[in-house]
Amino acid sequence: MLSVESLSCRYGGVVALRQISLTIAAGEFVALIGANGAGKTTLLRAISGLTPPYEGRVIFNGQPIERASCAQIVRAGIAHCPEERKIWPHITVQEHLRLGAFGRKDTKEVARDIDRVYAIFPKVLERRKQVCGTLSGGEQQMVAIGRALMSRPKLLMLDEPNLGLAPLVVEQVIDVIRAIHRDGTSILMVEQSAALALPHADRAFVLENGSIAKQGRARDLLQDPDVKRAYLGEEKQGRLIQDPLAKDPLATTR
Amino acid sequence: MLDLLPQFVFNGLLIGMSYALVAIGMTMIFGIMNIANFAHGEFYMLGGCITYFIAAKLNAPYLVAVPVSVAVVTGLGFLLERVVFRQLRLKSAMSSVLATIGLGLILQNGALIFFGPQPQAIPTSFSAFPLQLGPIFTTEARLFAVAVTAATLVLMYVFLNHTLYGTAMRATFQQTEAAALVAIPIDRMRGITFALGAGLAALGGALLGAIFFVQPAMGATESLKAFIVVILGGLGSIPGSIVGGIFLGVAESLGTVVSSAYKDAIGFVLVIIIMLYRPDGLFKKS
Ligand SMILES: Nc1ncnc2c1ncn2[C@@H]1O[C@H](COP(=O)(O)OP(=O)(O)O)[C@@H](O)[C@H]1O
Ligand SMILES: [Mg+2]
Repeated sequence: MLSVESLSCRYGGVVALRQISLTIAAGEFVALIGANGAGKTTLLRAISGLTPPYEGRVIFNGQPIERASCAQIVRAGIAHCPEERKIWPHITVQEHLRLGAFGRKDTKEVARDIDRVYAIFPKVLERRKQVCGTLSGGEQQMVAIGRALMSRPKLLMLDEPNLGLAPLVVEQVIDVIRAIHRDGTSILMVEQSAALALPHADRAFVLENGSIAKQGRARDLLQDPDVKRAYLGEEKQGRLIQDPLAKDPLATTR
Repeated sequence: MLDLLPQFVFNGLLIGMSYALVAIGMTMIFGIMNIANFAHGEFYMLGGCITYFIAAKLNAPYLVAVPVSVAVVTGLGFLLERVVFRQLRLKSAMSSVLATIGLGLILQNGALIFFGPQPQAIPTSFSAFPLQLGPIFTTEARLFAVAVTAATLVLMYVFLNHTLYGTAMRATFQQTEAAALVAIPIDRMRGITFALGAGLAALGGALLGAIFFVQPAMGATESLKAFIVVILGGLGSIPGSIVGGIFLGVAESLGTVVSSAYKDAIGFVLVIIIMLYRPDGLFKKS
């Protein structure tokens, strides 16, 4: 469904991504892990049109999109839930969802989809009239995901959706992402921590210094000694409170 | 003395609302395009001068001249965004700011060539006869200006807060990339913002020009005043720039009681005080 071919990105003279190639099939859950500064965000930005690539191609359902505008890419069916949520602080929850569907023409369906998003996130329904700057981090993340869903994406890209959230909230966010995936949306999820992303993914890529260092089935990568050392290490720093593997060993064999 | 208070407040309100018209546009341009537009007061000047030209030279009625001049300046704003600022967007922010300074000089001196340096009065069909409303003396032209400005501010409020397009504009203003990611056409939003901002300023010039005089030099002061208002209102807040504009107008008007020579200094003194004690502006809840 999505195929990235020899994609390179630069910021001025600084190369952020070098010759990245990857594919995502319809219905797949793909994780992209890597340390801070590896280029994960840049890859999502290149796919969604925020940072047009320096060279290389991005093909989505047969169409080249590497030179398309953000708006065209959203309409084609790729939603990007950006790093640090990027909610609009003075705009209400309800308006976030309505604006999420800005590119759609089927206004009648939009109202129904807003209700559907509230069904997924009952907690934000209570806050629908509130401006998003007043919400908690977890609620803001729910709104950001809901907003991205409102474009009816075929592929949902999430950039560190768990960043800065309490462990209990992380669990809720992950559950929601898995539910969205179960409903048929492909997922590309960026995480620094392998333990947060790999247990839920079908396949995964490891990005290091702008290049793909490893790729494979997520459950294989979880057993990979290099990955364990480099990307499960955060547990020691207390970033991860629990081991999701212990809780849900069947996650990868869905 | 005290019985003159309503009169001073009313006069301040009139000036303050025109400050608000100019400052809203400046705030929106600052928010969406990240440009401190030093040429913004020139749109106010052009609104006044073009209205004068249409009413005095082409002998059209004032009520026709105002919308035509606002439309012309709105179109000019749209064009300038396309031709100048869109090209500069990927360069440094400083190049855009410098461009606005250059643009201001061009507009001001262009107007000087075209309209001449003398202050001119825009002819209107309003009666010059003073009207008394309770404790306040005013004129038809002043009442007209207050009514049209108030209606425009209300319309802007409704547009920005209660329409999908206006909400999208505010979203672009608050977090541009997130707006791009929901298919809001950012380039078009910038064009509309610049055009709308120019048009609002022109309306201010066309309305106040019928009360005071119009001349090519009047834009520069207006730019400075709008900056003061934008800072008073808390950088980037649209309601703040409305309240800030009215606040400055009333403060200046009350200041003339003490000394009319220092009227224009009042705003700057206010800004210094506010910067010292409330750096986020008067109306930010801390
Ligand atoms: N706007 C930018 N300007 C210049 N360099 C940038 C910019 N954004 C990111 N970079 C650089 O590109 C590299 C990749 O960054 P990023 O994609 O944000 O990594 P990640 O999301 O994996 O932390 C880093 O070295 C970073 O410093
Ligand atoms: Mg990142």
